[in-house]
Amino acid sequence: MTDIIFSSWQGNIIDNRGKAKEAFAPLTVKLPAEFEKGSPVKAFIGWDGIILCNEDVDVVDMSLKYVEAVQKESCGRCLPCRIGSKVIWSILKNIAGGSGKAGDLEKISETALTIRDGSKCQIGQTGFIPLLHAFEHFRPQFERAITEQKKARQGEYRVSVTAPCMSVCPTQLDIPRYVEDIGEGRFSDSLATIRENTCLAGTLGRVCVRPCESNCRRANIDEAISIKYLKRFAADYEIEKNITPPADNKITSDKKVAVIGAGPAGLSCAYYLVQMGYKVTVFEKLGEPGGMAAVGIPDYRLPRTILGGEGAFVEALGAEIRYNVTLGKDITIAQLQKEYNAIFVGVGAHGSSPMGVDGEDKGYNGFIAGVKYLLDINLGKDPYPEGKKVVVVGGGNVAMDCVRSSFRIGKPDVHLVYRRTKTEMPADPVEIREAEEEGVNFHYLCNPKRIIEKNGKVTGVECIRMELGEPDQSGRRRPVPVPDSEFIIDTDILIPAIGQVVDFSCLEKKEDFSLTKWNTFQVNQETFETSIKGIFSAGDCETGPDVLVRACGNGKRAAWKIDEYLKGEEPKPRMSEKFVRFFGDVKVYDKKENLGIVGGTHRHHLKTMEPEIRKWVFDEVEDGYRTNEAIEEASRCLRCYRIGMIAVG
Amino acid sequence: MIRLTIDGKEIQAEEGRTILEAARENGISIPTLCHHKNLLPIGSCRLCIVEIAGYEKPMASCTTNVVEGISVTTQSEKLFKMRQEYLKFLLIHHPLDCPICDAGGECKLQDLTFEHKVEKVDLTAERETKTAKPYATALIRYSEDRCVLCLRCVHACREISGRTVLALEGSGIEAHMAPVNVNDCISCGECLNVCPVGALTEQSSPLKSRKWQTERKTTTCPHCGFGCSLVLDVFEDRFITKILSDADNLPNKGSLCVMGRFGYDFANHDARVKTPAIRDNGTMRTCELTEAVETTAAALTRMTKEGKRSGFIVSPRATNEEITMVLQIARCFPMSVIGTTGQYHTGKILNSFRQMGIPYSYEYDNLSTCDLVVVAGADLLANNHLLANKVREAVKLNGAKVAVIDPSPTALTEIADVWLKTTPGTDTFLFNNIAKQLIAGKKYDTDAETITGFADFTAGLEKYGKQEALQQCGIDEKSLDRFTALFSKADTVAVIFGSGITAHDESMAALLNLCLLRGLQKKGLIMPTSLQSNAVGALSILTNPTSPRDIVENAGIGGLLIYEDDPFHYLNGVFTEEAMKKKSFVTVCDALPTYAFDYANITIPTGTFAEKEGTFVAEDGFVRKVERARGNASMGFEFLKMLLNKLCGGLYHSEQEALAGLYKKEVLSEDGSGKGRLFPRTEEIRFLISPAADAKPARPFTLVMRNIFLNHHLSDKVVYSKTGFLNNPAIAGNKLFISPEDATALTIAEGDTVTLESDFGTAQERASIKKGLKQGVVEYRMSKNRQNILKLAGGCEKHIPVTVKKG
Repeated sequence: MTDIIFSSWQGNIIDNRGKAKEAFAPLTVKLPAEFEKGSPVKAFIGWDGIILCNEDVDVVDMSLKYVEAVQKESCGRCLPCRIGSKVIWSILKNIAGGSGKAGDLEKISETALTIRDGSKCQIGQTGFIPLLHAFEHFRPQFERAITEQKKARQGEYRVSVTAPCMSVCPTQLDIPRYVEDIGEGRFSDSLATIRENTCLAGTLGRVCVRPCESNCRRANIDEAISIKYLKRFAADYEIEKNITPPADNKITSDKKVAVIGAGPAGLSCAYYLVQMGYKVTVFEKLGEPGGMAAVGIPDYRLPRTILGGEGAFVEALGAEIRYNVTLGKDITIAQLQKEYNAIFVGVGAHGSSPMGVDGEDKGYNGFIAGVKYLLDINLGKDPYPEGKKVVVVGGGNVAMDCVRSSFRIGKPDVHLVYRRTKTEMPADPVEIREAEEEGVNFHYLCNPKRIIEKNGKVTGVECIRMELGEPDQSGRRRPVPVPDSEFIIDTDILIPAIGQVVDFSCLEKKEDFSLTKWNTFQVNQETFETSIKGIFSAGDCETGPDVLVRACGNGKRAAWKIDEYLKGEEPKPRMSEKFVRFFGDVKVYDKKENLGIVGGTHRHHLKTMEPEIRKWVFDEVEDGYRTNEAIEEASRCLRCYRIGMIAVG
Repeated sequence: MIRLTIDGKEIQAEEGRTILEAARENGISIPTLCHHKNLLPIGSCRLCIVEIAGYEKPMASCTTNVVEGISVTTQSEKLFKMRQEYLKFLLIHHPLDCPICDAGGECKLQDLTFEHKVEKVDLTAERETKTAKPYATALIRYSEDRCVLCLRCVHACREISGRTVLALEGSGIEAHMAPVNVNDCISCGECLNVCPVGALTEQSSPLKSRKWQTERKTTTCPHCGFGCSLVLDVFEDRFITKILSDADNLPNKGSLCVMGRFGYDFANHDARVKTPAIRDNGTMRTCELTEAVETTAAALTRMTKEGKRSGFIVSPRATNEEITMVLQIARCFPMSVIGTTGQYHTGKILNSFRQMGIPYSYEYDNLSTCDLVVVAGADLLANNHLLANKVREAVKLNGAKVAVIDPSPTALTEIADVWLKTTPGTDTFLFNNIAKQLIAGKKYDTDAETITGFADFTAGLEKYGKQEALQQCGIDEKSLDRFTALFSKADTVAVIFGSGITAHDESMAALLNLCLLRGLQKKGLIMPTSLQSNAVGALSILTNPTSPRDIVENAGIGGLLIYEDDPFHYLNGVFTEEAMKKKSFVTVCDALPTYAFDYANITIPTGTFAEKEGTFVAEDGFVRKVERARGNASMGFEFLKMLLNKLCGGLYHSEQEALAGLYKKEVLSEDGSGKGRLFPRTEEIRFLISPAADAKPARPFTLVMRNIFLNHHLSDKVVYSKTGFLNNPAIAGNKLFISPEDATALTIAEGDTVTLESDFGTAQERASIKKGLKQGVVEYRMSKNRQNILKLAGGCEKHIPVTVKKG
């Protein structure tokens, strides 16, 4: 972090100009010292004000360049921003060029306010805020430029556009744009926009944990917009209207890349590599694409036809996917190293974490790890037909999938055991609600202690009551056992679903790779390269069990690095990646911001099947948006694009 | 209802309404430039900003919904200044060429500038100089320098017409509207219609006029059966300078198609028949109307004396009043035969509706309440374009699903949730199988069981198995299943059907049975299209007319009176010519010379829609008014009046009397709102036992004839509409289409000559390859010089079995 000489960020004025360093006011905003190696952050100018770290920045020049960026980004969809920003630029250019006139500053201020108060989106609404701040706090510089007809000193800047929703998307979807595409009825354009940043629109549109929606400014006035379901709408539209996606084989290079695993990370990596022209072969253990998304997420949440279509789309672009090929059995890393110029490992985390209770390693009939249970069901099997009563342990989405799938394979009596309360449950609240509606018996504040068996078959589980103590590192209150509170739940099937681990049995020699203390692949965080040259990794096998969208984003970024590697370049972060990090520090969304506009609209909810009907079938629970609903929902978007500019020289 | 206050006035508005809508509903005006009733809010001009008490920032009233309890201010000093500033922004670049701008006097920017007292603009914002650029269609001029980038045109192109021709390109000050996908343009002129300034102006009229120089008359479009309302701009009571349309004009709400908007110039054409003429020794000479009347009357009377019959052919584009007159004249001769081309499509429909007791009339706007719209055998592009717009509106406003049944890509296949490419003439297998499936799955309206004929109908379905349907129709199982699922699940279904269905009696019967089974006559819509502006009127007045072919080719008919029709337009010219030559007299009444004129002994000028006074009955079963926009009378009606007077002492003396006669005879009735409509019939509803399907044709291909009933005034012998229809190859011009698969199999390349052979003749045409066309189908799009392709026709078939050979 760096010293701040002046800041008007979010209206909190820090003014250390002319002060001794010791007398500097406490920081209310954080700014990294360097934007990139050797480029110190001298100033930052953006939607919420100006932050100055180095006094030799010419504020007049910086303001002009910022207005220039606003004018360039102005989309043309509303006239105040489109024309007004150019009007301001024209005057400001004169001032910075040494030919300003008296009255110019007043004229600019007046125009800036008209644009701020009337523009359609945040480009115009925030684009002139820092300029107004500059006029207020750096007025002498501007006045001097006019009276002395002094030319401004040209600086060097880096500019980027962001939005609160975009800034937290691990795969950097251009959310305002694809939402706007839908709002304007350009549904195929919307999907094309989404596909610039992921090949898994239909999947993410159903199962993404949607950090974007928690960062939606609309929530400050009423409810966050339904970004996820709009994505699903765009993806489904193509399927429903039987549109063939534009997909030409893009292979131009003779360099070959092997991608191990057709899960979200592997598919994403392959998707970008083929678009960059590489020959890509994906090796997949299962008979279909999707990895954990295919076998870990039941059809009623994510029909496998969706994943199948998305895999086919990547194939249509030129990737070859070889199904039913297992690493460690049919192929080895060593073989691939000989045949391919680079390897991407995205094998996921398909192993099950142990619960640490007596008997779990004994192989009792009826004791089935959550991931295995779901895999069997997804392959069309009942994992343990004689079992009728089911107890699932855990509070995440996998646990929810296990309980809800149990009904769907005909198990009528389903229980869930979780050591904390509903409030702390990490599963998606929609999942929890739907599981409740379907009749799952929830046992909160208890934890399994011992498996009870008879003749090698599970007959029950001994649990102990818990209570919540002090918060732990995750911020959730730590569950503590209540002494002597043991009790028994009878059951035929016991399913631990408390977490997944990477299954390294696919590697001949696991020791060849450096691993992290969480038993995942150790990679260079800038390049995704493992400890072995030319072998890259991302997804759950690198991060440990994580959300799908992160695997998508990292798979994409790994593809960029593989590209650089194959070109013989030094892998380095892209400008966009640097800005992601930078905006992560600055924070694009302010939950407390008072928008000053009226809300009062509600998000559209999806129509869901009745619990009593849906719980016995694998049909998708939710119907997607109708066209009109999608348009209305998209129209709620406030289009919070913001421009950030860093002075680096 | 939401309660709120606007400018101190307490009002109520429906939830979901915008502040702008609520204000306008309550007579409070807010300035706008980009807002348009028919479009989703655009929000580009920002002139409709309002202040809301308790909230710091002004908000655009067009995109902000009403909220309980808010207090809105629409006029304040701050808002006025902001609006003024925005107008100044626009005026930096907008040229002050109002004196030569077509929009002068009716330009929104002009009005707003005036209202906001913008006197001078002292701002600069450099941008590239705009120069004249070609537009997507030659019918419209794009003066880019005048564009205010309100984006109405871009939205209208997409939302109303379902096209992607226009887009916003570039960014910042260089952002501009551009025709980016010119090949997709169908010249409908929706963009022109919504342009608030003079950026898009009509380029087709050779004579321009200003608002204050013209008289405006609202009337009904003469082309297809939809019955669009339009406004004629008439200069000095003689020249139509343009067609306007207003969003308030129902049922089309200001939308029109290329023919309606630009295809009016035939009325101005120099070739208009001006005086009656009579054949003397082989050549035509002009004569007085009385001489034409006397001669025609004498000829008709002579026929009866000679024991021959007279034939009357009346156009389904003539007004009800004219048709009534022709019928009265025909009735003076008991042996006479009367017919109309409307018989080929609408006649069959009205017959089936009568037999099945289905009431005929529907409201287009009810489409917006439907969940599923089925469009069967109707391409809705050249004909009934507006119906396609209404379907798109149902998708936009209600999220309706769309199912298309057609062997060829149509206006709606791109947005169809399912498209069943059935082989022409096999639809009966499809509809009956779906009916069978609905019954098996108990997914029909149980009231249908009480409808007469239910048992026989269901028994008859037995033989229509799914496999047979798939095989006969040539469709895949997945699509059929999807259709069946959508059709059985939807709450409210609309079925639109066209000539692809009526071409085969059994297909129409099967479809109508399916509609009854699903209860669409009670909840839902059964919407037959009609191809001509007054086909429904004609067929209601002339119950059970004869087909024109049977009149022309009947040797027992010695003489003809043809009213605004041209048999050569749609019948095989070889047979027609032979038959016409044998008639001892032919009187042809028309506004412009036709092929039939060559065989006429007497020709009479008639009026176009611009000179007529009268009514049409549109396909929805409601009466439309045709209002005289210029001149004093239509000579066509005068002729009929005098002839009738001569023959039997004049029943009707004016159009009004003729119309009154239709009400009296219970052809038409008035509904509660004073709107005229078809007289409601109350026959018992019954299922129709489907006739057996036609035998499978012996020839490998089916030729589908498109646009056969296009208004012959637009293009037939001569192209009378210079600009209207033929400039755009995407929609017009004679063309034979073949599927890529068949083209490959027959080694036919684009533009190759192919020979078509039918049971009636052979014809050579150049082939064009059309993606999406069903294999085994060739399609012919007709405009002028249609006699070549009509050599293949026997009567007036929609589907002709043919053999196709290269070369």
